Amino acid sequence: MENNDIIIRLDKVSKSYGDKQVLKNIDFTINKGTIMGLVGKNGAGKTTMIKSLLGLLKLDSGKASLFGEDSWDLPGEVKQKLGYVPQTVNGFDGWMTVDALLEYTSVFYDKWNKNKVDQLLKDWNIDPKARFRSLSEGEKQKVAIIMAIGHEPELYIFDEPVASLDPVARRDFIKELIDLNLDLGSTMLFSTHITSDLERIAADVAILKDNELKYIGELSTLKEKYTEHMNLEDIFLELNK
Amino acid sequence: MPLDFLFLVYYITDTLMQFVAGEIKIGKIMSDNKEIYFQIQPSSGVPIYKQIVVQVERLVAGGYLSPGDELPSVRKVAIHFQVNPMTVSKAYSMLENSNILERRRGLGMFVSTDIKSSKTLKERIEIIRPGLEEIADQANQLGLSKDRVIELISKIMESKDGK
Repeated sequence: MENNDIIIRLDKVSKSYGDKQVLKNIDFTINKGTIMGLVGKNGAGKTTMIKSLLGLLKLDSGKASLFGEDSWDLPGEVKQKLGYVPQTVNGFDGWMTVDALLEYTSVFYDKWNKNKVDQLLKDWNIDPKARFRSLSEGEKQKVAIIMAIGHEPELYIFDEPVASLDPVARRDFIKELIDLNLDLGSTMLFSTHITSDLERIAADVAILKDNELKYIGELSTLKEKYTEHMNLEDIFLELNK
Repeated sequence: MPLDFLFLVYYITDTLMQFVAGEIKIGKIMSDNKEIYFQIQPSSGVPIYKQIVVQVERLVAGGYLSPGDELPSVRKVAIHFQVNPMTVSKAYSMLENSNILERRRGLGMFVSTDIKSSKTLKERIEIIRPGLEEIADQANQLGLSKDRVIELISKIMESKDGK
């Protein structure tokens, strides 16, 4: 029963690029329904960690799994339960309209909530008839987020989803995540440099430093270790001194 | 005079900055019979669950919330303040454990019916004392006289009266 509750697991995961080690012996689990924020300086290993989880990278040692299945060999039904938004949005055919792109994406999934997708396009002011390549970076990111929400996955993995979003769009995004978490009990892992967003939405946090996991657990427990004058950004700076 | 002016400028900019940064959110949530004012600052060093716990304790201690009053649901609070639902749950569970709130199955969270509706004057003073001590320290650092601070607090309390 306990095993069913663990959605994400990294077990003593290490990874190097050439002679540069990017992940050292990472142990990491996320339970169902958790919203976990992942922070770390540039180069701390956040993206590598996310890619290991998704099976986009071959590990040197250790094991990564999603829904109890080996990440390197994810079965189709696990992919149906997964929504991923990469750090940089590319690889889509830029000549396609937003509508066509979403239609194309929907084909890969057993279910697709078209009402939800249309509503989000409207709420987030995206013109469905616009060609993808003509959109601003922020709009492209919004479309990528909508693409990940359409099939109502049980697990979301976001790699710096809000980097090119303005404060209003970031707030809309957070509101959507809270709705999804409340309505569907979705599990979420997201990396970000914007600690104020994380403090709002994540109850749990993982901090990577020098390619090792420096902290994983409740954000409130972390804050209670420091004085009341230190918020997450202060704590992050302190840990990286 | 210049000190007061400086303090005023400091006070106004500080408050404004917090508003601009969106860090202060004063919420008005309707429960069945009362309006509840929560103030949640996600980017504070004080964990959000604790901010909720302390405020509910204060509202109950001050008699603003009475035994049997219903609290806004976890969902309502999470959506209103755009914070993690689990954090709100945690606050409510802690308040339940300390018998300030009680959970009624299928109905929600209520102020416990077996606690005293309001604490004694002495108990209420003890709750507010730490905050006042901090204000006293700040006033000393800023070179503000006792009378100035008392006058300011009177004005602030008057302006909030009836809200």
